[in-house]
Amino acid sequence: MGIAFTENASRLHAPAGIACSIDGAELRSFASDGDTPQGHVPRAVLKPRSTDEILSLIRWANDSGTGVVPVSSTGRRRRGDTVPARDNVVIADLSGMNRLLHADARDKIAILEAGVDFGTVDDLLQPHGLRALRPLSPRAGKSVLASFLEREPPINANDHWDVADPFGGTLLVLGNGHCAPTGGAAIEGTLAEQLARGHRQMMPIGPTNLDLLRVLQGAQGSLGLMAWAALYCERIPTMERGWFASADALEPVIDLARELLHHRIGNALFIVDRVQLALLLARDAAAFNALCGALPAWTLFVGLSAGRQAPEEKMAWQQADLRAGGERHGVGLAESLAGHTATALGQRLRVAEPVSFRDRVSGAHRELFFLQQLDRAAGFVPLVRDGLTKAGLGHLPLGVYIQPMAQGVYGHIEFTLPYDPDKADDAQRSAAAWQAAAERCADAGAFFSRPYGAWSDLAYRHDDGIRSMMALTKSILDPAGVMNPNRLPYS
Amino acid sequence: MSRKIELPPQVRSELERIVGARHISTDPAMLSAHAWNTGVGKVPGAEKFAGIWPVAVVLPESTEEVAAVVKCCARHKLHFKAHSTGYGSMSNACSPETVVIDLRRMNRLEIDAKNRMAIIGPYATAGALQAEALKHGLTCHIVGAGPAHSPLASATSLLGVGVTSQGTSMNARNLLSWEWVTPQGDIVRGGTAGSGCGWFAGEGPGPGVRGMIRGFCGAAGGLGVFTRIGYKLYPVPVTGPQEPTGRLPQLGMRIPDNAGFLHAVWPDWDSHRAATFELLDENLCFAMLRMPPDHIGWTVTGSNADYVDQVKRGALPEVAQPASDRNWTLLTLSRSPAEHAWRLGVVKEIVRRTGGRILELTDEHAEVLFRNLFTSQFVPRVLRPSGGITTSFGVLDSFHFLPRAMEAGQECLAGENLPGGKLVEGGREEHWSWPHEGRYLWTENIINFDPASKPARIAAARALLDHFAISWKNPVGVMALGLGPVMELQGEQIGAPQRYIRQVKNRLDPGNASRSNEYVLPVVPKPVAAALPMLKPVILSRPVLGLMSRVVGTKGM
Amino acid sequence: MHSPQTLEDRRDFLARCTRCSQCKFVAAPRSQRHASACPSIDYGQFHAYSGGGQLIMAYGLLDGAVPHSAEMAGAVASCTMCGNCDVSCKINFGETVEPLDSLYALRAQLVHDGHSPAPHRKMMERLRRSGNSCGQPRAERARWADGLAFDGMGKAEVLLHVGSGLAYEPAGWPGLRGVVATLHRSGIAMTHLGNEEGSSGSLAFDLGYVDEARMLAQGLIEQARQSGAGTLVTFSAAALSAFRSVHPRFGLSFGPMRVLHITEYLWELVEQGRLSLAPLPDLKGRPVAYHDPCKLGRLSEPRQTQDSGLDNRMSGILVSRTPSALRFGNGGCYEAPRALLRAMGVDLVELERHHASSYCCGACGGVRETVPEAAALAARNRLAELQDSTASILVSACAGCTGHLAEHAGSVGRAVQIQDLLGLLAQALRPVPALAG
Repeated sequence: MGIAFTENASRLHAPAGIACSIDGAELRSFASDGDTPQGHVPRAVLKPRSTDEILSLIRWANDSGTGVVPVSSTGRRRRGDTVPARDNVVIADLSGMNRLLHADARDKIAILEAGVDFGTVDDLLQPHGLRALRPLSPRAGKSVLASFLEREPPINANDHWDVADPFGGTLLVLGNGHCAPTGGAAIEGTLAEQLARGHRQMMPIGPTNLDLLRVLQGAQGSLGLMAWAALYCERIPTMERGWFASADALEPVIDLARELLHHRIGNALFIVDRVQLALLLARDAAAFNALCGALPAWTLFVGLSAGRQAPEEKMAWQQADLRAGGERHGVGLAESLAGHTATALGQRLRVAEPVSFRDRVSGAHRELFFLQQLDRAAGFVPLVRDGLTKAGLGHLPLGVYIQPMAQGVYGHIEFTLPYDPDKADDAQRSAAAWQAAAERCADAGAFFSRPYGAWSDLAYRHDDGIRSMMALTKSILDPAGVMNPNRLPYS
Repeated sequence: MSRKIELPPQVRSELERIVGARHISTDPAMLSAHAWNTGVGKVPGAEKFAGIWPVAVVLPESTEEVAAVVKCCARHKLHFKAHSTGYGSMSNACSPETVVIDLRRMNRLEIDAKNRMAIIGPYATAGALQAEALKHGLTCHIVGAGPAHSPLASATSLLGVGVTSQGTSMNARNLLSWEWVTPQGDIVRGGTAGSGCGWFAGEGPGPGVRGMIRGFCGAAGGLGVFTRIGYKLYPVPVTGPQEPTGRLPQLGMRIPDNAGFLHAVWPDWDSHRAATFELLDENLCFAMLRMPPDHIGWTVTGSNADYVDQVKRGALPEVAQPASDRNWTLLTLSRSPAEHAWRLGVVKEIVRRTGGRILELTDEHAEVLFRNLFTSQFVPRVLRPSGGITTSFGVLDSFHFLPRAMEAGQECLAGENLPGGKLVEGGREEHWSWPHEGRYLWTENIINFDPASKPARIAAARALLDHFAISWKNPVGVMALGLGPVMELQGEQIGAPQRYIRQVKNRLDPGNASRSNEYVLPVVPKPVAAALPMLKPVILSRPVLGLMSRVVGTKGM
Repeated sequence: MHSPQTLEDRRDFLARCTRCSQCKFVAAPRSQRHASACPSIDYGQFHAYSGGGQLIMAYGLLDGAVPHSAEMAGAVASCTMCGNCDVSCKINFGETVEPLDSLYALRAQLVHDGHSPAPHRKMMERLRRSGNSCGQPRAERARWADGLAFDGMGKAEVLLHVGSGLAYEPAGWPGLRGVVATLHRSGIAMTHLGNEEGSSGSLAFDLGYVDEARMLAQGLIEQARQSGAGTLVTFSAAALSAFRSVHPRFGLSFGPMRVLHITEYLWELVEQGRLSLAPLPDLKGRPVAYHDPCKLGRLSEPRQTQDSGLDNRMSGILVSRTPSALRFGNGGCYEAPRALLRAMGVDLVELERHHASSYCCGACGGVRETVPEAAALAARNRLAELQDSTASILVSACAGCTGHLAEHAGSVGRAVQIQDLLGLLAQALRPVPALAG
């Protein structure tokens, strides 16, 4: 569609037809997030409802020199990537594009718009016998596409072959104002025509010599945005059972996780320390404190499932292998810990709540995450823990979460520091201590694949070659620099 | 031979200082291997040597030497073309000013068993990598080129699909961190290696810029030189060197404990497809491969003479009989008897339920077929009958399209592979198909032809070109061969990727020093670019396709 | 008259090389370190040094695209003609490429065109002059036999052929003499050709001197015929290779005379109960690896007089006209040496590359004399393979291999011992008394 211009109260020339908000409170809500106290206030929040409207918006932004910060999630955001880093910016709020465009149980794939969130996705998929792969207990308002676009690791480690998972084909709108279908979507015809022919947008790579999905992953909306995507899903199992595998030390737990990954056992696998597990299980501070005293030091959560094919038999050999692995590595297996069953936790992980579980007990938290190989993960724990102690913050609970990725080639290593935001001293001192922890981790080999806030500068300190490639990429995909300006170091 | 360029003495001296005098040659005898027009995967012309010969070949030993060679080429306005094992014509120069960079001396291979990955250089071959990985109960993806190919080249620069993709993914997704010498001689490390954190992840910090230089296909030497990568490996319940069974050339491999190796057939493609969707459920199989029966026949016979003799006597095993064309070779790998019983039991039940039948295999045939599947030795062997193959219908999508792909393969062969035709006699179609990661279909229709025969070359070219025409008329899936000039025709309908690729090429390599015929065309005048999509119907008309086939069959491609 | 194929005859075979690089690697590698099949490219590194690279170069020579040059001669001269590329290639390509026949033809072409490398020419001059490529005096060829008793011509059932390598290598004589003495004590009627023993033509053929190879072969066959013996037993792996796979190219044979390698003959006698083997205390409990010499192994696979042409069947399938004559490397002399070692109580282990895929030690094909650094590298590579095995003793049944490997044994790290099989046999062989005369 062409672009018409309407004059509105703030003298913003926005493309006609796109819902636009200049409500002060709403605008101000985008000027900060859980980690970013003060950014720039956007000029408007534009709410496209279709790919054509997204295109109009981006082309208008190019013509008018207006920055665009894409936002697909709702609720309390974090990490600063959706907070404008300069003025003269509008928010492209895609949360209203929340349709399930297609689902196919046979191919275990679903096509979702950007605004579908974790609070609703399984309800949409359930009639098709599917459910979404998901990160560790995402909040309800988190956009499914945005989550994976930002390389959030799914707990379904055995289905995470590659960082692009669980994406199949996608439709991107680049900063240059053009659509870029990727992978299986890069084929002749509209989506409807493609679906009618039987295409299922299953291929995650391409087309040809390009892989723009991979390029836009981790770009924090600074190169383009995603209108819709085909996502690989999980067929709803016929049987499902959770297990806790616990030990006093991290290493044997990692060894067991590795063995299970190498055997491709478990539809969900992740490692947590007692604090992180308590955060997942507890509904309030009292329960949290009790759990911290009762839970083992390290726990591997293992979700076993079976589908339609001789499910009892499958569950039996999986459980036998899990038991044998536990014995081999000196890791205790339990169906419940401190009165909580693993099966119930597995079910609860599928119920997204409005507030992050990390904030449930103390009201706020700091997070630090990076990538490293699983056999090096244990070395980071004392680095962070000792740093907090030296900073006089030893009284604060420190949670550790290790998510195997790429089927165990490496892991997402995450530290969570819950704190009471009303305790100003804790809040201030923990901010400084956290920065120091990030630096120590960086020195020890932490790879900040997702450069946010406290560690965004650290991420690029060694990597001039990549910065020049980033600059090249930006100049080609978003030559006018309209997408999330000043967010990443492109120059 | 094209006009002969002499390497100026001072350039030779510079290159000698970089790689050592022993590792540079300008002698035609040494250059001949880089002008050999084998046509593997393509249709060769009548001439065995390409029209273009390189000006020199150098053998660097390190990334720094590669970078220095590239910069030397830039200083002297020379081009360069790097290759690893140089399968087929991949090592050929694309201009007479080209210095061929043969990466043979860069064969680093390091297994990180705990983290199921390897760090490899360009000349670590798949066969060597698999041998080293198996010591740790790991294996690697091996693409169609077989054990002698370079996984680094495949992962960074070419297609990267192979017969065990069900269990070992594909190389675009097995590539972890990467090291790359840009067309201007800068060394860039992507992902974790760039931050000095190891070789385990290729994306970030921030955007995955690798996607600008390696998509579904790589740049085939048209965009600098990849010199080292992290590479994902796959655990298997097989450890240690596997002593072959059988006698040369029919080497086999003992089928491991708790493994199932079955060959099943179905009465029609619909039931085959129904079975496929069930077999993909819960990743029952480590590998699933559909081969045309004649290719199975080539594999279970030790020579062409043996094959033809068995055909004439009707002595080929049932797996290699034409009627067994709706088939799957199925490999299950388990780690315990209970798991094995489940996998094998479910697979057999699916075959039965969908109307399929499991064929008997002798131990010898099973071991030969298993080894060829596990090591991907199959594909080089497919060249044995005639020495000439090209491919068509390399498509990826839902298995929904499997029956349609088979029809399309038959359509583009147009009966030329039936007795009396110009292509090697075979089945109704010649599709190799397999799933990726339990998800989607890869299938390609192999066209076998006698490269010494002009009519056969023309027929092969026609089948290849017809495949584009058929695909564009009624797409069967994402087309794997959407490369170079093909993308100029198709690209505008799928988001114009060729425009971005051209920008990448021209920005990184303004002088087109890193020259390849298998990458984007660096310059397409705007009127031509605009006209090409409109000309597509003309180009795909029967008379034009016929003319193009004759040109390709004569001059090669 | 039968003649080996010329390069022109091989044109279509050359053209079929797909440059797949399989020829550089053994068919079933067990490690990266020992995955190579080709000592030549391990040395030269340029693709032209590989089997396939030489085919392409040869095609260029035929086509006029590649002129003769020192670099071409260097690459050709670095090839040991070991035939490993041929074994590997046939895994994929069966009868359609057969690199080794083309490599022979390429060397012959170089000779024909006057571009045979100078060291090759010198070796041939010496061969012509004194019957051996080292230029040793003809009069000393039979010194090894001094003092040993033999039966006269016409009276012997067995004609011993020693070969120049062993005949002029005094270090090997104790083993040679010991075996001969035991055979004598066993009542075997033997003779030998003395100082006039001729060359098998193996080296001449390897170097591309086809006509001289033919003449040498004819000469030796005539000598053998005149001996009246029913069995020819050679101590030379190279000679056995010539007898079984080169002479048939000329349409030559020893006729009704049986031709055996000494290891085959001895094992036959052991199996017949005429000889026994005593355990060797020095080797007890020590793993021993056996090095398959190229000439004794894959290159001794019998070649039939055959039509090397291919028919085009089924619209493009290239089919051997004499499929029964196809050779894949299985028919070499592999088992007799191993059987003898086992019978001596040896704990035999296999190196990573063995039987038809055995890696050449570098000594053959004129490489040791022409490109000594290439030969040395091959030896070191082979010794490294030994070092990566559980064995520290390497036994070979070829005097050339043994000598060459022993020469370089000191240049590798862990102490290794190179042992000639003949020497071990001399210690272990016993006549079986009941039949010993």
